[in-house]
Parts: sequence; structure tokens; C-alpha cells
Amino acid sequence: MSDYTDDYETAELMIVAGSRQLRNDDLAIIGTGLPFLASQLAKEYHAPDMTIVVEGGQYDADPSHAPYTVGDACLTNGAGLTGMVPMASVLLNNELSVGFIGGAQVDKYGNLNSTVIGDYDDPAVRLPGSGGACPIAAHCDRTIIMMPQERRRFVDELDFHTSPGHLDGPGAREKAGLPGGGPEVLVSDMGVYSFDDDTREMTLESRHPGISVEEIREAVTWDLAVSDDVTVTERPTEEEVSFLRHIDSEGFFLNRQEFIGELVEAGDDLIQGEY
Amino acid sequence: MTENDRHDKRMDMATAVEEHVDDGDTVFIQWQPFAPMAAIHEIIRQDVQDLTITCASMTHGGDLLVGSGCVEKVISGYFGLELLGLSHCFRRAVEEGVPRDIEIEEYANFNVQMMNLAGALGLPYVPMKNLLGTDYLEKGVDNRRLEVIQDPFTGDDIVALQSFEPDVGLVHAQRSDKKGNVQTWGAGIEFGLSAADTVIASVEETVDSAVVTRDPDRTVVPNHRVEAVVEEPFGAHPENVYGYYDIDWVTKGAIADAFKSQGGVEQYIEEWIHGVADRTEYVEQFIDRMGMDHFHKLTPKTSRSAPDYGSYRQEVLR
Repeated sequence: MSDYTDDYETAELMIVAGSRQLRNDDLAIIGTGLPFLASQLAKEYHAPDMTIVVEGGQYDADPSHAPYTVGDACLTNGAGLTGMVPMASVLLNNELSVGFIGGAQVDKYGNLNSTVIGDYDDPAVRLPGSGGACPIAAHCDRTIIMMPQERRRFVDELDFHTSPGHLDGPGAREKAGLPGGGPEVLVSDMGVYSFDDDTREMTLESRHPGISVEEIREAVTWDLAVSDDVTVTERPTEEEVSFLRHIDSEGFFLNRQEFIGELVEAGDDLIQGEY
Repeated sequence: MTENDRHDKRMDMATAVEEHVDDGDTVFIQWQPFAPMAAIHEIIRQDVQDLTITCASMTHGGDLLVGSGCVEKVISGYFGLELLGLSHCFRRAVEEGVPRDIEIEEYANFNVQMMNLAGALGLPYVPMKNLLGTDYLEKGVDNRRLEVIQDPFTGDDIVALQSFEPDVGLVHAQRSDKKGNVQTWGAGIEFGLSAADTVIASVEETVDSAVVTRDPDRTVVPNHRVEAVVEEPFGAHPENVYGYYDIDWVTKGAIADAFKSQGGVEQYIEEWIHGVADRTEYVEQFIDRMGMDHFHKLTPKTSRSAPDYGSYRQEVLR
């Protein structure tokens, strides 16, 4: 593998950090976006035998680019297209070893909210809801959370608890009857966290290059647990960055806002009247 | 009426919607691929009212319906535009009551799938574990059909979700014969279609029955539930149909941008639904405005597969 580089975007660092959590023997369920890039990167380098499944029942698809949606045609040609009953059977029957999820808010036990900001019955912002996140969080052996970090996102109390993390601490998942193991790692744009085996609390393991532990503490509303030997997150290699820029050559994920701006401009003739 | 006529379900979309979608119906909308966009446009054109729309996941088609004001209630597990962000019409309806208030009955996507599967199987409910410990059991519970029960065999808590069956299922498939043997390939169909009492299927092509009988594995709905077969080429645009056209991200991006305001939704509906008589005029206007090059760019490269089913040889028994 080539040398580490400083020429990367934060999103690329997050993808690389997420990818390093995947293992060669994983049977992983992956959605679109940054997690899919992380899984493609893992398969290219350290986890070539990992099996990737997508919600629609696609098994080990070999896409030419990062898929834009779970119904993307680039996911069709693969080892299997089993449909939704068999897909439900592997997910709900606890056969998946790992899943990636995210959310708008997270608490210290890795419980996630992707439903509303504000009051459920009269929300300030209505978000998309669970999608597959809740069942993935409930049933996979382990989950990897990827999300941006801010005080308003890393909160004491979720506005809505959509996807189960470690609930209210040690033993809570078992007591509630949730089969999977819960969150193992959280990757934010500031650092990488584990969930302590005893307390089940999110614990800072590494800070991203250039970000201090103090800055990270300030972007969390609770008193953050910090590992005794915090490291600096391993940077991407030149090869990893160049692989990511190749499979997302249009910048759909890595420069999303800019890419959407280009789409809107290209579609300028669609609606011709004033509004 | 001859035997052939009785089994001929072909009709135009205006007739299909007029005859089979009523005010107040619960309508299943297949998400992409195979999104029934031509049917959605016709529902808005005919101003059908007070619909409950459902699919495990909702995206552009559902957002357009909500923005048009014809939706009273949504039953789903996801409502968003994926990588294009939040659904603007859905947000406006929930947050501001514009163009009208909507009710939400929400679960995770696999819950909705399994509730539909149970409905399709004629079972009263499906027990599931994933909602344990979450706010689905605490907030907005009155809008959900669920109860925490004890598993009669283990005594453990489990969530019983009541099954449901949509009145009408909408799908835009690759092909069908005139009898309603609807065929798709390349991706699964949501369980909501199997649970629906009746189905309106629009298709890229209506084909001779011999095409279906040579390749019967691909039939996705029993034909007795299909009430209408509508040939509507490009009928899923701007979503995709495998082998025919890809997702049109330029159009979806432009629509999502316009839908940031209710005025943008109304202007889109004016130009692309009321401004055209049917899907044929939609395609003409699309090529006229966006260009033949863009239209052709949506056509995927060929990737064919031809299974050999083998045929029965009576000699084996002799």
C-alpha cells in the first residue's frame, strides 16, 4: 500500500475510517452514500472476501460506480438478486454480521434519531424516518454509525428514538429483547469512538488529524468519555483516496452539494414558467 | 363477448384511474425501480382526493402526490429523496399543513413490508422484534396498528403489527400480456403489490402471451388481481426501468429544487400534468425541452440473459 497522504477531504477520511472496521469474513448490509464507498474500499483492499448485501436483496453486486440509490441499475449484476422475502429472512433472522447506519441525532449510548427534530406531533423538521436503520440496528451483530458531529446532533436526549443503540446502558438490549449486539464504532467528522464494554458509553478512541480532544468535547452535550490512550486517526493512503475519487468520479458523494447544483443547472429547461 | 375480449385488460390510463382509483382509497405505490409515475400523474390530473398512500419507502412519486394535495395519510417506513435530501412536499405538509395536513402512520421499512406480507397471506398480524426499546412504542402510538404482546411460546415481549392490504396497487413494469401477466426483472417488487386487492399495471410494452409463457418465472402478480394493463412507454420517468432507461438525475434534481416552494410544485403540475393530455404528450414535451441527446443518454447499455427452461419430452415415459 502506498504512503499516507494529507491530500484528502474529511468525507474521505470518514469513509476510510469506516472501511477499516469491516472484516474479510463479514456479511455486511450496506446502504448508499458514504457507507457504500467504505465497503467498496474495504473489498478492494483488506476485505476482498466480504459479502455485501443491499436492502433490495442484491448480493455481492459488482458496481462500476458507487450506487446512487438502493434501486440503482449498477447493483443488478451480482451473485444474487434474491428479492425482499429472502432479504428480510437474513436481516430479521440475525444472519448479518455488520451494518452501517446514521442519523441526525445520537446519544451517548449510540441510540439514533432519523425521524424528527422537535416534538413528534408538531416537528420543527420532519426527517425521512427509519428506512432500514432500525431493523439493521436491532438485528445485526454489530453496527457502525457514521455521522457529522455537532452539539445539536450529539445530545443528551433524542427528539425521537428511531434506531436502537445500547438503550440506557449495560444489559438493556438483552432485557428489551433486541437480538443484535448494538453499536460497536461511531465515525464522525471529528473522531472515532468505541462503545465501552462495561458502561456501553461512547468513548473517544482517536481524534482526526488537526482536531483537539477539547474541540471534540465541546461538540458533545454530555460529559464525554475519553480513552486513556487517545490516538490520531490513521490517515488515508494516496491509493485509497485515488480509488475513492475513481469510483465517485462525478463527485456525487464527495462533493454532493456541488454535484446537486450542477444537476439543477442542467435541468434548467424543465420548468419554464415563473414560480 | 368472446373469451379473448373478456381477458383483454388493456386500456388507457385515464380509464384505468377513473374506473379503479376512488377518493379515499389506500393506494400502494411501488418505489423505484418500477415507479408508477404515469398513474401518479393521472391521479393528480383527475383530482382524486383523500388518498392514503403506502409503500415501505416513499420517494419522488409520493412527494409529488403529497404536494398536489390529494393525500390524506401516509403509511411508510421512509419518506425522502435519498441522496437528493429531504422530501420538500412531505416536510411542508407535516411542518406547515401546506397544501394540507397529512396523517403519518410510520414504522421501519421492513415492518411495512412484513405487514403487507402478512396481509398478502391472509394473516391477522406479524410479530417483530426491531421496534423494542424505541420511540415507535412511545410517541405517536395512536397512529400505529401495533401492540406489545408476550410470545405464547417463550413469554418474551414482541411487537405484534397488524397486517394491512391496500385497495389498489400501482406498478410500472417492463411488460405484460393483455391478460395482465405482469413481468419484471432486475429487482424485487415490494410486498405491498402482493397485498393489494387490485392492481393497475402500466408497462413499457404489451407483448403476445407467447412471450410470457416462454419466460413465466418473471410474472410478479397473479393475473386475476390485475384490472388494468396500460401501455405507457417511459411511464416510470424520471425513475428507472431496468433494460429501458436509467434514473434521470437531472430531472429529479431540477424537480427537487423546484419543490422547495409550493409555487414550484404547482408550476410543475401545471406544465407537466395539466399541460399535457397524457404520457405520450409528456414524452414529446420532455424531448422538446430537454433534448433528444439527454433522452438517449438515459438508455442503458445492453446486458442480456436468456435462460433455457428445457421442454418436456414425452419419450421419457415410454
